[in-house]
Amino acid sequence: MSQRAAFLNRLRSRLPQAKLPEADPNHPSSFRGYTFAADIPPADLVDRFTQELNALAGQVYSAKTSQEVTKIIRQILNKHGAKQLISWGSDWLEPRQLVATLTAAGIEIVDSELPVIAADRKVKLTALDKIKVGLTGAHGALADTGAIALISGPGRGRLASLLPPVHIAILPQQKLYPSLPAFLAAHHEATTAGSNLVFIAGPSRTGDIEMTLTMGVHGPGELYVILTP
Amino acid sequence: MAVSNVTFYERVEEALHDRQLQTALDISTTRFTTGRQNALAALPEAEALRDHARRIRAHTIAHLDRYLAQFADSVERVGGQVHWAETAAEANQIVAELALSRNVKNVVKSKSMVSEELHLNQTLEANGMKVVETDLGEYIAQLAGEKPSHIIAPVIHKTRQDVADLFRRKLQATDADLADVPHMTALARRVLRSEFLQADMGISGANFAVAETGSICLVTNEGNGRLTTTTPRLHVALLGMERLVPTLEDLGVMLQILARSATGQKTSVYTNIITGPRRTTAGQPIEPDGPDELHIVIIDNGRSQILGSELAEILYCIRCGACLNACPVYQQIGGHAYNSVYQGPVGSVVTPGLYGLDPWHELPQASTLCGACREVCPVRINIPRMLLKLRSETAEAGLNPDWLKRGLRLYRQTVVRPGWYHLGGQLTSWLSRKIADNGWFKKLPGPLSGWTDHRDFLAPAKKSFSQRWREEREQ
Repeated sequence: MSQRAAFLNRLRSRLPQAKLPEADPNHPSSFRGYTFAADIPPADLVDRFTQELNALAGQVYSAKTSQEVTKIIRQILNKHGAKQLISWGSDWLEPRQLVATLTAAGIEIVDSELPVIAADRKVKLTALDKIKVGLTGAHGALADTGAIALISGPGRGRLASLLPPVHIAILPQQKLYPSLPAFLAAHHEATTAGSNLVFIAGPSRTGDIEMTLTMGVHGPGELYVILTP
Repeated sequence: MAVSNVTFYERVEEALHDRQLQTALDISTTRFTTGRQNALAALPEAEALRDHARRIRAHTIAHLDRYLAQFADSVERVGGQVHWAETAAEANQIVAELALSRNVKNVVKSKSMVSEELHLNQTLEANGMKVVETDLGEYIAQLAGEKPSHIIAPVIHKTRQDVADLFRRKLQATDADLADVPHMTALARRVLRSEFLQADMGISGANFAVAETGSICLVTNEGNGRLTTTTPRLHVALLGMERLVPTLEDLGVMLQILARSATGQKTSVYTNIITGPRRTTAGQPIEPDGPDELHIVIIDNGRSQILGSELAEILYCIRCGACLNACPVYQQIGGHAYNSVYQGPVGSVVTPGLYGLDPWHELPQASTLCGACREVCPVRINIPRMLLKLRSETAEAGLNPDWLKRGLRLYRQTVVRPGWYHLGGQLTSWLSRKIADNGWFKKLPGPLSGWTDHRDFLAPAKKSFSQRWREEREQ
């Protein structure tokens, strides 16, 4: 008998003796009581999202044109004396010409594909670890918590939002959702499009030493979200 | 599980006299309980969500065989590999063989309670590997050679000075590195970052696993969970077999209450949902990064014993730690006194459930049965019911200490005989007046001294209730 069959058979032999209060044979189906969900005007979503992310020490910018997006990114890069970016591919960033514009302005988008060979992978990671800023798009954002949602895939690596100390995400306003359950309901591809779906609510933080709040312990210590029309 | 020679009561004694621990417990449990209360109060549907979450967990555990099979199929469909481990030894062997066959030297870990259960670090170290805990608190505990003392805040028992001394000794930290908590954290980031870049294997636990999609979900604030599951080419996830939810939508329900119950946050910083390894087409990676291999080890290690018993309800637990913070006993004695991976009220059920009442029968006694744990549990687990069940099993197995057995026998004989009972009452009342100080006992003899060592005990009233009742009626 396979390990799996033996394992599952053991459970089946125990289940009849299990005392499981309120266990229904049917799946309880969907939860219908979410209060912060439907019929919220888009402007309110923006306000709430901004308020929540600010409370988590994340910063929100609003950019009306692609020139403004570029300007904000260059300001952040200048602040950190950075000329290089780990970035999602241009297909996954809006405005589409953003990568070209940044490149023309002397910003280098470094190659961040990890090799399959273990030793090469470590060398590449060590090089990428020197880059100070990561740039990504986002598949959505959650107004009730200030989190942004990123789905990995071709051209959409995890490292851009993880390895550098600064993360910039560009988010078109129409991708705002009231909450995580609302986002999941609208994105059935969230777990099939790539190997990783991540919700990021502000900069990395810890309170492990004397419960003193400290930012940037492992992930980025600064998070900027640029809202676009 | 290793059992120390120090008894539970000796550990409690030590904890109660540890001033630093007492302060840390006061601050942390107050902050967590207040945070939880406020976070749930701000969510109008919180109570209904808790009911719903309970229904999901109950249904899932009742059909665990079906959902585990579905989960395994889903994982394999997206290119992950599933392993089944009945015992800790089997799980350790699976992970060690994976590591050895792939020439793994450096291992990074993000917090996993199951791995503590397995003593996996020792197994890997015995095979010549370097294993580094990467959650800041767990890393500090590892450097100190200690065990975590809280599910959510592993080193609440340490001051910043303790940590500074430790960093000076173990990491050759300079004064500048230790200037304040942010500098100390920055030092840990640098040290651990180099471990992430050089790691051959990342080991994680899982907060939840989703049957329909084959996803696992890891919730962290620091981001070490993401790094552990992204930089190394090999990711091994350890999954306690009960951690399933049927659908992604169900996961959404759990996530709405998990962080609120644990720390009072609306959400943790990183909610990381992993579905299979880095995607490939024709053997070539099409995603820029992520692990090339994902192995999920599904672990029983005593859980099926719990499943086939009156304790099965404890498997609904989502490991938020709210019952620890709310427990008046935990608030006084902290996590180390339990001497187990699982502490507090939930631990007092899980630990004897996994490893048997002998020698863990003292843990179910570490409760006032006040019901605070049940009150705060996001999935409303009736922990007091199971503590009572374990206490009665302890008595039936004859594991109680002799003084308690004799005392209870005497009590039983007395309370069923009105004459004896009244005599006993009068005797106690007379004794009280002899030795009580202003209506309080300052020091009681024998096993009763356990109470008076730390606080006075109210002496019985001069007249018993039945005496007063009689007098009232006669008037």
